[in-house]
Amino acid sequence: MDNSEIQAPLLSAKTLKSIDLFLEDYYPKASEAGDRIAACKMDKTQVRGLENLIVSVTRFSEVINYIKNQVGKEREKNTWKEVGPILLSQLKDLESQANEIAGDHPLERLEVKLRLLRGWARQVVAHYLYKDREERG
Amino acid sequence: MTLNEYLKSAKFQAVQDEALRDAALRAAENILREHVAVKRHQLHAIPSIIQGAGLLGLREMAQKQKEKNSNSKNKAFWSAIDDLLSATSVSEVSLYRFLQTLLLESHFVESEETSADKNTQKQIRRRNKVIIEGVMDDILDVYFEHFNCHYFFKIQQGGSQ
Repeated sequence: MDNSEIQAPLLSAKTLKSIDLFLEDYYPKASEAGDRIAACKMDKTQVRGLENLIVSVTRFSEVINYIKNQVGKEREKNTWKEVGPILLSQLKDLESQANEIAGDHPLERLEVKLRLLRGWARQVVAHYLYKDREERG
Repeated sequence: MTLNEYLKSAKFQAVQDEALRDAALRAAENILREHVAVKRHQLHAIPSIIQGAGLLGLREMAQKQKEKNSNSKNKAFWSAIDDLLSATSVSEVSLYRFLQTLLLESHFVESEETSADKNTQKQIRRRNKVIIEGVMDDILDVYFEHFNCHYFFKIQQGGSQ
């Protein structure tokens, strides 16, 4: 369904600060996800693919569905199976936090979720790249 | 707010992202609990049918599969899909019932209980069905995105295929 007419709200300075504060606190957990992705030697293109998707989605659940779909694929070596649970669990944390920050304001809640998602992805991918490089020496 | 405005609103976008997802997850889990999991390609057909022929196409396919598919697992699966879309479904996880409740709460459909007269109730039911099926046609792609991905995820987790 076309949602192009829905405008992103201007979030208040207080809301933006709440998002930043949460992401700062969440950094160790996001790093853990980055560690796991590096540990299972997921291909860099897969990680970049997820990152690109996160930048372009208009619905938070598109990312959840993408991860579930990847986990659910029949492959000989499916690294998504190893990291899917931690990524999905962290997405659940982000969604709960968005509900706490934005409460019963649907448009604001969607926007907060997407901002949390993008901030989280930057943390996860940056940490993955760092660990991946470290492990390769 | 008109129904069209509602369907384009942030409120409804949030419904698609949250409540509709929960409804699809419940339906997928319910089907997996009650029936043996089918092969992935059975579900792969759903998005393209929706894109090409919408609700009518999906319903036709589900009915055809439940009548003619020779595999009993597939037959049961398609029968459950048909039930999700049906106005006469008694299942608590049916998509029709989910939309009926949602649209009733938002006052876009009328409660049959507003009248004691059987004929009037029937007319209300018929009017509601047109509205609910119109909305269903609109959100079917998102609903089955949630449904399929969760189904794939669960069968991989349970390894029941």
